[in-house]
Amino acid sequence: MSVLVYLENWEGKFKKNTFEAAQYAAKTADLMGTEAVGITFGDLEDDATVIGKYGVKKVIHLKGDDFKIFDNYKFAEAVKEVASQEDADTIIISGTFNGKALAPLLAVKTDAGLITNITALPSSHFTLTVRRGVFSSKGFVEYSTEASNRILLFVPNSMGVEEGEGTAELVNGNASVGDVPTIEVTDIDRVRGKVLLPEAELVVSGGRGMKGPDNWGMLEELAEELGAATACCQASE
Amino acid sequence: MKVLVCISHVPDTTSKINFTNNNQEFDTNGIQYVINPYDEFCLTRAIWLQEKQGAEVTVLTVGKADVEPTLRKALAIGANDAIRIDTEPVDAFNVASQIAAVVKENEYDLVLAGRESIDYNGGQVPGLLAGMLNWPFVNACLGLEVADGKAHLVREIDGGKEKLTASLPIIVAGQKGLVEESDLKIPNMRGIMQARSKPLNVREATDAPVKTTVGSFEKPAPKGDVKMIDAENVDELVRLLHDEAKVI
Repeated sequence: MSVLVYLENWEGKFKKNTFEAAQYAAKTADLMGTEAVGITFGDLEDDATVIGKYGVKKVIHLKGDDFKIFDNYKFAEAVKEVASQEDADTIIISGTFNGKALAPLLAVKTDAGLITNITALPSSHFTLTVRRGVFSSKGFVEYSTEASNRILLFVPNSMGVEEGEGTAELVNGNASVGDVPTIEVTDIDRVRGKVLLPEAELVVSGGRGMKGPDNWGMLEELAEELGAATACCQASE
Repeated sequence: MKVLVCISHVPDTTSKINFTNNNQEFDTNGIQYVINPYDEFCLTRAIWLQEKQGAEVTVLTVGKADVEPTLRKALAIGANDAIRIDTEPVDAFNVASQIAAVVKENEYDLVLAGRESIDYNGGQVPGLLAGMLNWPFVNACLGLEVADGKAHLVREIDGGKEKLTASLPIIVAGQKGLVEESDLKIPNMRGIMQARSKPLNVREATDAPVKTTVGSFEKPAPKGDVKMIDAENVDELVRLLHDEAKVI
């Protein structure tokens, strides 16, 4: 049995939480006495062999019209098929917006136990047990699953990333998506030039003390100077 | 158009969270329960579809009788009828299976649910439900219109937004943006009175698997001290950011 990790890329580029996912998968595989394998989709601009620096020795790359942009059903079908090819019983996904749209569909397709909002590595793998956040981070709890297949969705930027040595083998993969429900993407609008919260090394955070949105600009300016992201509590939104 | 809105019965956002029974259970003492805020955005959007396009809105929750005041509130806001599936919601897979059984027996065009509940923050039920039904699924939805038998949606993605079109039926996991907070519906006296006579159907749970179990809870570490710096003392602020926080 192996561990499969979904290596998300944004317009062909890997980000910090891709490496975080790779590292989480490699450490989970170590715990289980096995190896981690990565899967990534679409046209790549970045060199996928760098994933090896985070402990993943092989990356399977799926290309073609079905995988040019994120589609939760098509990606779920493909991950399921590759998991079967690689004899993977554990799948690691970063809790990005796409990761959250993918994981539950994949859980149904693979009849897996799904644990989300994870903030730590598994503490046990016989009955897979892992710590997760509850009550909007006002608490934590140990969750377990005895399902033979399991999917772990961790909170981005909760683990930290340490770059090591190594190069991953990049392999072209094959998977069919079959007849799945389709959703047409008509437009994508991305913010550019700003540090996103899940990627941030530094965060400038404000709360109710800011009094109102008119005063938020000074935090934006500070964040820009520091190369930081901004964040706020719900009450100050 | 038939719309189903899945509602979670959750502690009020201002609740003090404590654990009891040797940290094995959530302490419900003194907790006020509300409609899950993400579900409230979905319900308000569904009522908008009811008012503008004649949609018939059903609300549903999985829980024992103690959740009924939350369903009655949803009826007071404007839902036509309610369904309670009579079992404790112990696990997302089990809850999604219970809801799937209801959806399979009714011809809903649209199923709305909050993108996550604010108690267990699982964010699983809408996607699991979609997978079980093999329906299109849009997560973290910020905008929804229905026209000509199609759903036109906006979903949040990392660092932006995506516009989408899908055929019905569809499952949508909603959040703030689906409607604005200022547009959330508050039950008025007429709605509260009408809610008393609206149908609230209790349904037996189906035999569905449980995939996960909950172990012991813990509270987060206490927050560190806060340093208050006089607004005029910029030098001290810069010194602390440089020497202590090491961010500049």
